[in-house]
Amino acid sequence: MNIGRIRLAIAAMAAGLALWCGPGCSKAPDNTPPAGGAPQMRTIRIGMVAKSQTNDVFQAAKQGALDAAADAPKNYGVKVDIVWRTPTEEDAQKQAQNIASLASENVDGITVSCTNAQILTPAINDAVDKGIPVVCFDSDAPASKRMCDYGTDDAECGKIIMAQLAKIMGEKGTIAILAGNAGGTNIQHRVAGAQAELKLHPNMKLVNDASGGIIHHEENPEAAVEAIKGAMAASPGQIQGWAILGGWPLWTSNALDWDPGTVKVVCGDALPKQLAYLTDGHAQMLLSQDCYGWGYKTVNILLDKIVKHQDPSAAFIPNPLTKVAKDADPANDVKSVTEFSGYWDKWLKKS
Amino acid sequence: MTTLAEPRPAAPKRGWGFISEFQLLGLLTVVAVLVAVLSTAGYYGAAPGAPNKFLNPDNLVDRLAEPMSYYAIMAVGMTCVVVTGGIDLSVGAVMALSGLAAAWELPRLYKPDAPGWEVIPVALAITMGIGLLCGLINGLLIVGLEMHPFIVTLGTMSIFRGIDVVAPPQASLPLPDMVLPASFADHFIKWRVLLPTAPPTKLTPMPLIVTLAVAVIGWFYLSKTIAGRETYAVGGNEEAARFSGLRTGLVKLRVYAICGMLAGVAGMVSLGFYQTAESLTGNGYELKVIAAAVVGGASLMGGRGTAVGAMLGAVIIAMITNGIDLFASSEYEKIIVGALIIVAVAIDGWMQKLRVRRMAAQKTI
Repeated sequence: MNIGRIRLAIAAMAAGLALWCGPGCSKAPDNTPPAGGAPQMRTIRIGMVAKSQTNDVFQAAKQGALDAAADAPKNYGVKVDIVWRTPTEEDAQKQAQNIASLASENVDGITVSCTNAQILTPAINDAVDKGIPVVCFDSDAPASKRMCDYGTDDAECGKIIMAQLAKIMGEKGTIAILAGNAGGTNIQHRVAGAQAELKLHPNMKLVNDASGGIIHHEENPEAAVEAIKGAMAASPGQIQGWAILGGWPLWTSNALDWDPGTVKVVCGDALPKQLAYLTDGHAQMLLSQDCYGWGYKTVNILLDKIVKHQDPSAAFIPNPLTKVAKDADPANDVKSVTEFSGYWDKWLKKS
Repeated sequence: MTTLAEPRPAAPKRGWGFISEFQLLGLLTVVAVLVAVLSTAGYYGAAPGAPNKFLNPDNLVDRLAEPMSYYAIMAVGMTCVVVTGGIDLSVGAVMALSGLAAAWELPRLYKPDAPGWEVIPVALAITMGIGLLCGLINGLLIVGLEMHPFIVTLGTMSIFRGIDVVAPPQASLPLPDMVLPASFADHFIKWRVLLPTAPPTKLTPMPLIVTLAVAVIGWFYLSKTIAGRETYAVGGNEEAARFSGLRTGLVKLRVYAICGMLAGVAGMVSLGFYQTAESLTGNGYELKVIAAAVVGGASLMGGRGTAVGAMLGAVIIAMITNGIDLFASSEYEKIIVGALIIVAVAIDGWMQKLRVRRMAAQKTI
């Protein structure tokens, strides 16, 4: 092929591209009347932007949203399509791009868990300015124009974890608090809640080590386990209980190397992998956030607004925390590990 | 005894600044096929009466070009590095570092309503300055210690990312009680153009404009300047270049400095667009940047690569990513980008062998 021909081919291709792009290619309106004259059910498209695809809690949230969509014809008289636009890994910029993309597609509503509220706030505001209601779940963007946030009340979560640990330890003993990233606002609130609750239990005290009994760590399972091991080694035989405010150390298998039951553990997460620590007796109680509800409830909040024109009851709607232990205790609203595993099987479509 | 390395075939002289017309035709064919496939899918995927999901200005400028701009800008710098036979894995971390530095400093230096002529040059100076500094560190380590670029930039990637995490008082900047001057963010990088459609479409073209400007400057630098030709000479055969009097160390130092500086420009665009820089900004971008350079025809063995090619490589990756976002599930993005790199490198190796064989045949004749 000589150079002249190649140049001609390039010019032809450029012209072809221009011609292809020229008309704008808007799809013609569909004027076909519905079959049999029956009224067509309105279709509502709801965009869902979770933090990442690799975290089970967001897969549960997705399933919740899909179930809410399946229930919508019965509950709201509309058909709902869930448009799942979640980055593979946590990436706030990608989330902002996805929200903008959903807004440009004129979806009817968006539900989002914010990896970084500062980055997402302008994108959320742009969507709201286009008339698209936005609801946050799990992680809020409080300075944005979002309609409301459905998530965990972190201070309350810290309080409940500490109260349950005190109950399990018989209201006495030396404990440590394992908190994740010291800079995380949610962790700071959980620590404050746990400390406030601890004051109500005079015979329980934080271990007197260099950390003051509150141990922070990088937010990954290995760092969390190392932090626990380091604290146990620094104060041998002293720590009798752990209030684990994030679930990081229990994202592992067999990482707690004491004899089951000798040290009591209450943890603020109840993912499938973590349930094994209840079964083997290393953890006494896990508290589950309503991750399925993050999808189910927020889709319904959006449908209330879109279909019924009802505003949410408050700007922040706390999700319930479910207590899970090895054995059920209906009197105290505690679910058994077997029953709760069944929920996860349903949420992750394993059954 | 010093042995001269086997000479690699020189870059083709005809074409658009060292990109051969054959290569350009190949890249344009891929772009054309992608446009045809995605716009057809966009037409059938659109609701009745709605614009084509792919082929509309909003998608092309704000959904495709804006995310592309960051790695396209860096791909031009990466191409300069790859042409010398090097690689820079630290670009994503440098992008974050320069963005964080500007997000820290600009609100301290200027009030929110400070004029653009004061703010924009300083924003450019901070981001490009930090990028330049990081690039010089990379270059000095590679040239001064004669270490492999892969190892050096793997190490500096970790160091710069570590600084991104440790240095700021919180994961995102500016701090909550501070804002970037509007003349830099809202009126410059996030400057909006209103298209007279019904309803009116707001476009944010500045990231695309900066990208095109970088591509033109990159094209001019690599193909029209002596420094650019020196870059190809070093990548084509470093020892021959040294024997012909070129200061190869200086040439290498220069390309790493350019690569760092362009990562700084990407950091500035990202900061202005999102009005926030965070510790994880640009995380994993090195993969897309290298992919854009390689898909655009840059040879990891050195000696070949162009700014125009890098731009077309970035366009191809952006179209695939945009297509995945619009019509499939984004889990597949990394698989496809990874596969693209392997395919592009395999094709490059195959073309290389073909050229060597052809040269040998010509010599025999």
